Amino acid sequence: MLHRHLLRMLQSSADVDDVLQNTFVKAFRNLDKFRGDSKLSTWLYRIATNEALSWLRSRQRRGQRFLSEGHQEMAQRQLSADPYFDGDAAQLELQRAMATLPDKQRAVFVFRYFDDLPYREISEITGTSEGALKASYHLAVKKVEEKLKAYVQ
Amino acid sequence: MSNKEMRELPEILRSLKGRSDGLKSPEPAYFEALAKASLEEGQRSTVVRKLPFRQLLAVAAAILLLIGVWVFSPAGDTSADAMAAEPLNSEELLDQLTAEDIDAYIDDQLYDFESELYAEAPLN
Repeated sequence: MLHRHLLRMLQSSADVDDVLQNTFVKAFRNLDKFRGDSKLSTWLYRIATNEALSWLRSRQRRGQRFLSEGHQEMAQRQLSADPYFDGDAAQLELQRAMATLPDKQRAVFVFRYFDDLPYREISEITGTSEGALKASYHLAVKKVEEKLKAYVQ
Repeated sequence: MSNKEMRELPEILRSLKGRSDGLKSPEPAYFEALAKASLEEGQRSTVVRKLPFRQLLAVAAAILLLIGVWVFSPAGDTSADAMAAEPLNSEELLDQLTAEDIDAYIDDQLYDFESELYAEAPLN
């Protein structure tokens, strides 16, 4: 599940390898701090999401090489060649549309649309209020819909 | 996701949600290798560089010496410090000038003054 979640967020299995390992290392080193207030899966999701967001930020900082292409083109190029993607054109378009979302909004979209996580749990993972999450998800759905419609036309 | 929320999804997203996302999960061997690598990395202790005892002693002595010099050095002229900290305004500076100083300055700079500007400037 974590691998799939990170792949949806990062859209590159090479990046997922690094982020997933960082996640496990951090979880291992901080296992004594896990108090059991939340589910272990929620705690792991939280670490993984934070790691992914940090990774995306650092990729953007050092990613001058991507200036010539937009997020959508990059997602398409990466996923088309990725060994863990075997979707069809429509699924690729959905991934391309998701790539245009801001990183945190994409995380919310992934949690709700794909993983069907309740807002309460997403709130625990992201540290964001449920109201803000609902607004963010609603906006994300609108944006993705517009992008998909544009691709279809 | 509730039925209501599902109904509210745009048609295009509702139809895609019913299908897979096109992503595959790795084989179990991938996770075994990842778990092994993560455990090794997690167990690797952080390198802490330690100074030898003699160097530590020298550093401590130097710090104590600096503190001593700072504490026991004679206090500076506080009034001068205060003046340096708060610049005087132009009126106060003018008050400090004597008439002789002004005359001497005008004598020295007389040929540099713009007579045309004088002519244009209103007299007080």
